[in-house]
Amino acid sequence: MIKGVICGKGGQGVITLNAMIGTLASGLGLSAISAETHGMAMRGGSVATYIKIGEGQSASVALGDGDFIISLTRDEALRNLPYLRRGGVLILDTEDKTAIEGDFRIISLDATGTANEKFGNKILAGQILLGAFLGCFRGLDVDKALEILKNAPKINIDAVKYGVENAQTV
Amino acid sequence: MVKGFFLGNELMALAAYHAGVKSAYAYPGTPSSEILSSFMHFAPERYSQWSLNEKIALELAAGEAVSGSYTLCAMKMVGLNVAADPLFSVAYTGVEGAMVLVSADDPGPYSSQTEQDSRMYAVSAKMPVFDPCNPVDAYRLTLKAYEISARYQLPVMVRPVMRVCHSRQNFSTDTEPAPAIKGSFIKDTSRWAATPKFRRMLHEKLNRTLEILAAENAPKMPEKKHDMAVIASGYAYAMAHDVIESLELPFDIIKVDMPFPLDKQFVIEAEMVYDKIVVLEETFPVIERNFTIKTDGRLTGLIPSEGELTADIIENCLKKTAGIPIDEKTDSGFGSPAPLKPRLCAGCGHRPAFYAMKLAAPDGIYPGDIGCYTLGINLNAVDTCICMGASITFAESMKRSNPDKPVICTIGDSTFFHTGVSGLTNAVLNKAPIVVAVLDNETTAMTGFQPVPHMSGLISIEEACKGAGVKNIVTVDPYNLLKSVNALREALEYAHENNAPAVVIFRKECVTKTRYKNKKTAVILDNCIDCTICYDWFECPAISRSRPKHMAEIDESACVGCMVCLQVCPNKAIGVRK
Ligand code: SF4
Ligand code: SF4
Repeated sequence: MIKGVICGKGGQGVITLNAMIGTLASGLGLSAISAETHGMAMRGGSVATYIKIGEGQSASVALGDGDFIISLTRDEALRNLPYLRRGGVLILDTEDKTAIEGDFRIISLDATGTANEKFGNKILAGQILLGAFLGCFRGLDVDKALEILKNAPKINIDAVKYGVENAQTV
Repeated sequence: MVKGFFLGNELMALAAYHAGVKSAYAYPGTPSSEILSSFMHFAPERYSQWSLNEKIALELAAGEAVSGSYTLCAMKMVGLNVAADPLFSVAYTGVEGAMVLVSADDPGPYSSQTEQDSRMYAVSAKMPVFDPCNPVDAYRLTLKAYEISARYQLPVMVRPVMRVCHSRQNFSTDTEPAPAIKGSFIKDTSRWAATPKFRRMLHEKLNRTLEILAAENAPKMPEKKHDMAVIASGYAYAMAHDVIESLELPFDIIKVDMPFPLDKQFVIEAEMVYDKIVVLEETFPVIERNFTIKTDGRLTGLIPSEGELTADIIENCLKKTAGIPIDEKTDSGFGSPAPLKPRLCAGCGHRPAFYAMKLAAPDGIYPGDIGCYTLGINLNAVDTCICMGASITFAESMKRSNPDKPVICTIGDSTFFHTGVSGLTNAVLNKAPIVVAVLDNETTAMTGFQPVPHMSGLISIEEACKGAGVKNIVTVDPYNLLKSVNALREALEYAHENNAPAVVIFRKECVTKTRYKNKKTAVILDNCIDCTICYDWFECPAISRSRPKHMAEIDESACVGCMVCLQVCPNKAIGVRK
């Protein structure tokens, strides 16, 4: 089982990224369950989703038990770090790692910047982060995932591939 | 074939469609809002309606179900307070077809005024209630609710908590939707227009039905492996299941699908079989209160009586009960930053309306209401927030207690039609010298942009105010700050001179819904003296303070170009970037 937290601020695409990961996991034949926050928080407040892939009746992740955190901002990463287990992985959409340290792996990507410069659309940051996530876990079959995505626009797939490669080189 | 990664709300709507629902009614409210929009999505050919408020939605759903049709009604739990009157009555009369009421709870609370438990309504109204534990379970139990509603001719409640509504889970089914089931009304005054004498008989019949129903749907006792058991319903069950399984805690676990009515025999048996029982449920001890011995839970103080249950709380409570030492969680030791608070969007028309209120009546009292515009709190322009529609009634009565203060209340367009109009009529009848600011963004923004009555073209806010007896009604564009302030000043004057409420309608469509983006943005000029007004007092999220420069700074990608900050800046230090 893989479980973790995806976080950022309202309107940044946390919920979309969560749905992409869950849908892809379903496509890979794995069970997936996630929990989101809607409503007031979506007006620019802190937003976090919890997700479990592989098994589970609930999406809740206990403190110190998460295998990963994907954070779209440094501050939200700091706020949610207590969920990360020792040896877990933190995927950050920023190169700013100030004050973030501990017994876990950090992949800091500046996905939004890269999406803008390399792929011409910052929306594709989600695809890059999705790729980085896929690249991190042996339990997830990257080739099969790319096969599922094959009908998506080529640029989206390239962004996912970019994420996969960058996850592994860290 | 349906297959995907679905929200709980989507799967409840799908189950209603599959069960043969003919008509669906709802008023939006987090966390329930996606239920009706999903029903519209799955079943575009069937009837669905965003009703004016929850009482109306429930009565409409009941009216059709009394006529033999299958109906769905959805709301959030505070909406159920509004709908409580028909709820209690229809529980007695029952229905001919089938009716399921989904009332979504919000432990936490995340987007609500209370942590109330809709199941308590089910208990006091004597209505069977199902408590699903996750989206897939919500699909199964909603189908079951229709089956039971049809079989016993009773309205049935499904009570998901926010974590069920807004969880996603993969789900697929080959089930084909049942054709829409419709009936026709058969007259029976002893049932549908029952006088108190018949009401007593209906009550008696209901009590008997509930006993049979409880016995037929009693929770299943597991094969006994441990001396201790967890009895749980809803999302608390799902979390307890995962915690017990992953930590191999010494508890058998019993899932309760239907917390009310609960089979008495089941309770006795569980108390006999186990040495210790922990009851986990949200948010009130509805199941727990049936147990008298050997039981720990909220009534004994093991489980906290406020806030959302989390996997960590459940883990600690179970370990405590089992005498297993609780290890201190490895806190990574970082000072974690405070959570970001939600704010009105950049360019939101509500912001200048609030700002104008503060300029027009700096010493005013500002009763507020429920919606995006509750965030006027950040601008110190919302002093009270009680429930839907209470802005106008609070304005009337607070003015009576604070006659020397100007009172301006704010109410959104959807809330105005929900429960505002009757309060406004009351203010007219009782000569309340108040100003009612209707913040009209032409949508129900907070809950996801559901339609509002006046966009139908069949009614307008102005007409409704006139009909309520208001004589002084003006409409302004809040992007024009000076006009807005003047309109409020004149309205206050009118109200005080005439002992009558005045209405100012601030009309500006929601920029987030329309994705408004002016080609030009605002820019801070060199003469900015960092007076803090535009980012702290006006608090546009596109503006922040640039520390190194000791100046304000505008994030051009966030600025939508409403150009209100130009009017707010006292130093003329904001200009237009072409
Ligand atoms: S969603 Fe619309 S109404 Fe709500 S804060 Fe944003 S702009 Fe204002
Ligand atoms: S013009 Fe000014 S007030 Fe309007 S969105 Fe831009 S920065 Fe904010």
